Order: sequence, then C-alpha cells, then structure tokens
Amino acid sequence: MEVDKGKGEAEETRKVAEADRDTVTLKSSDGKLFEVSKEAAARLSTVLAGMIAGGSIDDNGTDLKQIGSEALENVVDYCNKHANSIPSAALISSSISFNTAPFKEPEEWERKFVDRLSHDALFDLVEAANFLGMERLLDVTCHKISEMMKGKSPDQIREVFNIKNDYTKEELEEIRQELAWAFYDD
Amino acid sequence: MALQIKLQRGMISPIRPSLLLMGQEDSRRRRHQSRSTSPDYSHAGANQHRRPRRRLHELILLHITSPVSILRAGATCRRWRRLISNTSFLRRLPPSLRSPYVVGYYYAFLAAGRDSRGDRRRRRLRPPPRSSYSFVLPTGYDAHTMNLTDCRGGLLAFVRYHSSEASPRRRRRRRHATCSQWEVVVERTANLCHLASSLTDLTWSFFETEEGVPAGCVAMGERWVITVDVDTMELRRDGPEWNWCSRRPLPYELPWPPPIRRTCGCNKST
Repeated sequence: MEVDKGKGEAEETRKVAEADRDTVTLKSSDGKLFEVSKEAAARLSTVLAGMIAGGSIDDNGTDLKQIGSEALENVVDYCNKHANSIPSAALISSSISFNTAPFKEPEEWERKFVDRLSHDALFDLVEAANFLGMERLLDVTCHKISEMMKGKSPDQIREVFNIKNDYTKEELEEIRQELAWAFYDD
Repeated sequence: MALQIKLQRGMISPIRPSLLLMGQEDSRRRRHQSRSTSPDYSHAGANQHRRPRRRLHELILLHITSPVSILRAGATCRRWRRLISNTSFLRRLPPSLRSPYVVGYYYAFLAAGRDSRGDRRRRRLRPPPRSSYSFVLPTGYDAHTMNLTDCRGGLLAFVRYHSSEASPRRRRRRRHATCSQWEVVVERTANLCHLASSLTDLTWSFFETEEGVPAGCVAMGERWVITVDVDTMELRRDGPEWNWCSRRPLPYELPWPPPIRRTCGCNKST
C-alpha cells in the first residue's frame, strides 16, 4: 500500500512516528494512507478526537470513506502546518463557536494554504473539514470561498461556483428592480 | 442566458469531484430518483458535528463581509435567496452588516470604467452616466453645487464644487483647470480618503473593499453625513441622529429581500 505524507513536514511527521508512534493513520476513499500526528488530529478535529478517545482508530488505516485522497492530503497538510506554526489555543477557542465568537482572520500561512488550492480542491476540503469537524479549517475555507464572491455580479458568481440559475425571467427582473442599487453590470 | 447554460453544461461533468454548491442540488434530485452517483454525506454515520450541506452554504454566506455581495449571492439562485432571507441567517449576521447606518442606496451604471478594474492606480472613475439614488440630496444642495462621488464603492462623499473659486495653490490645480467638473471630483478622491482617515472620530465604511465597484449602500460611521468642499478640502459633518438625506431616522435598515414565494419543489429541510 502506498503511504502518502503531507507535503511540508513529512520528515518531521516520520520522525515523530518512529519515535513514539504517536500518529494516526487515515485512509481515504480510494485507499490511500495518510499519517497525521495524534495530538494535532485530536486538537483540530472533533471527530478524530472522538475516535481516538473512543479507541476506534485502526492501526492499519482508519477508513474515511467520504474523503478523497486529494482532500485528505490537504487536511493532513493543514494539520501538520498548524502544529508547526501556531500556539493555537486562541485560534481554536475562537473558531469553535462561530455563532458566538467573531471569526478571526486567517493567518498568513492559512491564507497561502487555501490560495494555492483549485476550486474543486477547495470545495472538497470544505466538505472534508465539515465531515471531520475541523472548525477552524472550515472557517478558513469558507472565508476563502466567500472572498471569491467579492465584487462579482450575480452572473459572475454563478459562473465561478457553477450555480444553476433557477429563477424565472420575471423573478430576475423583480430582483433587479428591488435591489437596483446592488446591480451594475446589466 | 445562452452562454450561461452552455457554461453549466460544460462544467457539470461526471468527473467533477465534488460540488459544494448548486450543482449538488441536481445530484440530490438524482438521488431522489434512486440513482446514486455521488457520495451521500447524509448517511455518514457517527459524525454528529457535521453540518448539513445547507448549513455549509450558510456558513460561507456568513463569511461575506459586504451586504452588497450577500444580496448579489442571493440573486444567483433560489436556494441562496432562501438562505439569506431566513431569519436565523439574519440573526447570525454581524451587526455591522445587519443594520448599518445607511444614508441610502444608489445605483450607478458604469459601463466604461469596468474594464480597467485590474489597474487601480490608473483607474479614473467617470461619473456614472446613469445613476439613481434612494435618497434625496439635502436641501440647499443641488447637482451644481454638490456631487456624490462613489469612487471607492460604498464610500460616500458629497463634494461641494465651486468652479469659479478654484484655488491655484492646490496640487491638482492643472488638472482642475482643464478637466471637467466630475473629473475634478475623481481626482480628489484619494485626498478625500486621506482626509477622512485623519479624522479619528470618524469611521468610513467601505462596503466593498474593491475599488471601483460602483454600486452599494452608503453608510456613515458615527451617523454623520460628510460634505467636502473641493476648494478648501474641508470636511464638514452634518446631520447627526437623523438621516435627513433619506428623511428617515438612523439607523436605516437594509431592505433585505423577502423570501421568494414559489419554491419549485426544492428541499426545504436542512
């Protein structure tokens, strides 16, 4: 079986793994294996934390059937980067409850992390973060997606996000009149 | 319209890994016809923290920082329109978006300026050839003495203009002498921003941070309407507490779109 590592800190991950086997192995929907530090996984993902605590982690690769290998690679990459870059108590506590706490702007490295992703990869990553209960990653990715709408007309937004226009002509006209000031490109 | 349909056909392809957004609605419908083509997250098992997809969309829309963008997003499709007009969504919006101190709304049609959006420094915003405002100009001001400049998309500055008294000492004197009235206003915009930011007790609201987005709502922090005298470059504040431009007390709530009535059989539940 093929073992993939997160890009950046693969070396360190391996060292840690060899030292005290303090990693969990995750298996993507297409069977690829990824290792991530147990500590980071538990800290960043509520779901993985629950699995680790509940002992349902499989040494041969915990099956995550819902996540493709590309998305999982990004998740692992994020975990590694996060572990290496932030004393993250503040971040985590701020992001866990989006409802009550204001969203904290992405850090520089987080911005770079999501900027390099393609649209598809980004959407997959959102789904993966959602599935794994990674609130901060979810916030960062959602933030990035919302930024992609900035300054765009409805038509452009539809194009970028592949949204099907299901309004009737009459409804569109109605919306335009009602919010004339928000449209400028017609 | 035709272009759009074409685009969508081209983009929705079987190999597209995951459709976070609207394309998903199609695949969901397909699933209803028991033709499962994509992984179904709704049966993901023990994951209690997972948000339903609707909540994911909501989260994305909640991250938008401008009411203009939110309303535009709501204009893209029924589903998002339902989301943004939902009371729970409105409750979760940051207060600054929910009820800004809005003087009014305007609509400006700006065809010529759009092409140069990429090049901010060289951008010269022209007066909107067609524009409309949902508020009236203060008494005593008319189009000859007072112009609404909107060069920063959402920043409102009323510029009072006295062509005959233009001061030769001003840096932009040369341009001032040769250009039209509106261009003078535009030329001054950067200065207006500097001036505005130098007043510490004022907050200027930029509802679209991108320059050159020529439509938006107009807000004044501290409930002031700012007027600027072009000649002296003096800022003056008018009208606290009462938005006498729109003849409404402040804050003037954003007229949020009501939910659409017909729903074309989409899934209403989360």
